[in-house]
Amino acid sequence: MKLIYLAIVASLALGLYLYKNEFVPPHLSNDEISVAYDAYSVSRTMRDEHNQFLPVSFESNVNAKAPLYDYLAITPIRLLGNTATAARIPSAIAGALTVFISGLLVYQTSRKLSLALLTATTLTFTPWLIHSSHTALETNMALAMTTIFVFAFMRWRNHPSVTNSFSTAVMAALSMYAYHTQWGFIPLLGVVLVMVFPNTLRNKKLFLVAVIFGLCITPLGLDYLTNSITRHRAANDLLWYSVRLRDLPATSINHYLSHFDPGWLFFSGMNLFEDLSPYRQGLFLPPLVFLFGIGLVAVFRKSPWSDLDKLALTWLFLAPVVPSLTKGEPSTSRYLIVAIPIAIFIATGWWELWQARKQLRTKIVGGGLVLATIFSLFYFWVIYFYQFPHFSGINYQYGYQQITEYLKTVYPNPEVKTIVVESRFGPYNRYDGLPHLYIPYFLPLHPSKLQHKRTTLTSLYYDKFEETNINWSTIVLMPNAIYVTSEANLPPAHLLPNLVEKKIIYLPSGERAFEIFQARP
Amino acid sequence: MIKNNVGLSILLLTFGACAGMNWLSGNTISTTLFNSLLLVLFVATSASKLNLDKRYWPIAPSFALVPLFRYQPDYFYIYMIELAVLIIWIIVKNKYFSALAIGGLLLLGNLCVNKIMYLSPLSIDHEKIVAGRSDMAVAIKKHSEQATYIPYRARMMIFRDLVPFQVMAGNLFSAMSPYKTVRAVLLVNLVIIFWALLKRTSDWIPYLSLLISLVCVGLVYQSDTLTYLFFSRGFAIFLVCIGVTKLKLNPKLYYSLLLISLLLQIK
Repeated sequence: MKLIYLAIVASLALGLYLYKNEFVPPHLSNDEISVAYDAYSVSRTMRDEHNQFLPVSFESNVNAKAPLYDYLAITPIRLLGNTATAARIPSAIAGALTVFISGLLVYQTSRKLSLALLTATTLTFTPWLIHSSHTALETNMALAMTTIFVFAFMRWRNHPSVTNSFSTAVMAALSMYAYHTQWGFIPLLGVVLVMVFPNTLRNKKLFLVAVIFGLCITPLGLDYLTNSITRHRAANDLLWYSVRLRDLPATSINHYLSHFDPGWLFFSGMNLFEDLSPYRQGLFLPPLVFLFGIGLVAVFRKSPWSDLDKLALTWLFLAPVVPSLTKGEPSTSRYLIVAIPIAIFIATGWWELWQARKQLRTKIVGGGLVLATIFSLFYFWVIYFYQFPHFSGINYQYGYQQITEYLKTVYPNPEVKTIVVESRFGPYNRYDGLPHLYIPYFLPLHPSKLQHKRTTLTSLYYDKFEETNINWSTIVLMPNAIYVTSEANLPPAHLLPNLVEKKIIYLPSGERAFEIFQARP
Repeated sequence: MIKNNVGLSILLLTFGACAGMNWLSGNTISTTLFNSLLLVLFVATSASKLNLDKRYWPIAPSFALVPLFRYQPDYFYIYMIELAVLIIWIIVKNKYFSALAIGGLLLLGNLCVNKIMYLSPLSIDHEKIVAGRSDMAVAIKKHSEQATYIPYRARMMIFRDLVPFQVMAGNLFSAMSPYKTVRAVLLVNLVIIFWALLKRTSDWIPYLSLLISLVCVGLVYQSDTLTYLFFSRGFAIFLVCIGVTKLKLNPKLYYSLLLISLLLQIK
């Protein structure tokens, strides 16, 4: 019966995460299209874009992607076709699952249904989770898997059956297949949880869990040893490849501490627009910073700590460890794992206020915070569902899906033998796009065509398509050929008599993004 | 502390250590003297107000390592404001008058140190204030013009009136980031201050000082950590003394933790 309340909250979360799923963000980003295309490619040929048979690590832009999301996206893409929604559905489901399991975890650990519901509701309306559940990213899947792992661990701790040992080990391994941050985070969390809850150390089934876990992650380990792309990712992202050894402690401590910036977490962490835009949003709703503070202080003042307090504190302080060992500013993808403990502390803050509700002061503060939270949710809603898709087209390579809609009408025409696509886009052609993934995905083109692509120093050829930086001064126009060019690289006046303008693609903000021309016969 | 020979020696040592650190940082003589003098005065005042146990006195020279006491403000009158705050804190016994006077001076001082306000000649730099920035006006115009799906009055409230508050609150809470505060007070002191803040104290001037610093940093477009915490440095010492006492921290352990903090912070 109690599960029904959590299931209702999770259903609400699923509805929210599916709401405007295709249009917010306005277009599949370069990371998302890579996931979507590989899922499509594997679903048809059992091979990815780079012709690898059922890879354990997917190559993407000379980097490696964790495999779980790609494989989970196969089913919706087969069922719904090659759309943005199909690619994003696994993430929306993972988000709802995170909400449900985190509520269950809190209930299992504290036996307080209201605290569990508060945690689940806080997570549901967390801008960070709303955004990550609207995008086809591995990190959201990894969050769901990690939450299930922790839930399974706490369950195993109380009931160490073989089934629970198996589920704990498998979920820990699946988390590691979901995202690279989990390679460090899951073993670390596992070891620390065993130390924090010492009775687990005396559990004879701990060895069983370790063995099953080891077996499950063996393919990952082998892939790391044999696949240079996977190793390249590690070398590319980790701090110690770019920082001198003597600077490593200070740099990593600074990185670690910067993950606890309340301004970033609650006011400006979600960079939906250009840098320094005053409309940046927090990863959590701003008024909840006070609830987080209340919850944290309440836990620190408590003695002894409950199991939930120990779990939430452990998770909170371990979450930044792996992200702080990587380069750059705090990353919303790598650090998403902290959403659960922060939501638990916020829920604890609400809980503490509710406990003291008889005092007039608490009533005023609590009422004010409820109103402020509702208002800030409305503000985020307006910014996220209306302003963000309108102004962020460029950031999401907006236009390639719309180009493909037009190309669907000319691609079957046998007279059109060549389609030349500009590989750059944006103001001054400053960005490199991935039309060779967007167009085959949305067309859709059989994956074998791209698997047998041909590349030269300047161009990429597959099927009828040529992806290149179009140089209008040296180009030889081919009869009936289609030219897709960005607005920053339009053909010069002397070529216009030989070209027919077929279509203009606009960004959601109304600016021109691409133009499509056809050469005269 | 001043009346005791050991205490006096420790204060002299603190002065010397702070002067040495300032000299090593390349500060001017007047900055060196004022930073060292103010540190010693704040240590002595904190010890006197808290009746600090003798066994904690040896930690005083370590405060010379706190980066806030090596900061060189651009204007000499900023030291005068800090000195006035300290004198009122020591002399005035009426807590309401004291809070009012100190609050006013801290507000003025924080506006000056953050270069929002200049005393000579008296002026305000609007580009330094979040709400006054021209790029903010451009962003507001762009977004409010697009949002025609919301009635005009509501649109203006959401996209124009509310935005500076959101940015200011973001600045304010960012200023509390441990990443930034560690650079101003060192890791070990930050943990102790956090602990002290959890334990209530009857003297709420340190809290007031922190609050005013944070409100002022909220107003500023971009501020350096050492700048916005400048006027809280003396009260930070006071809070460290409270924390050390409440935690019953052995000075040897404190120095060990300080060494680790320094090693972790040296780049």
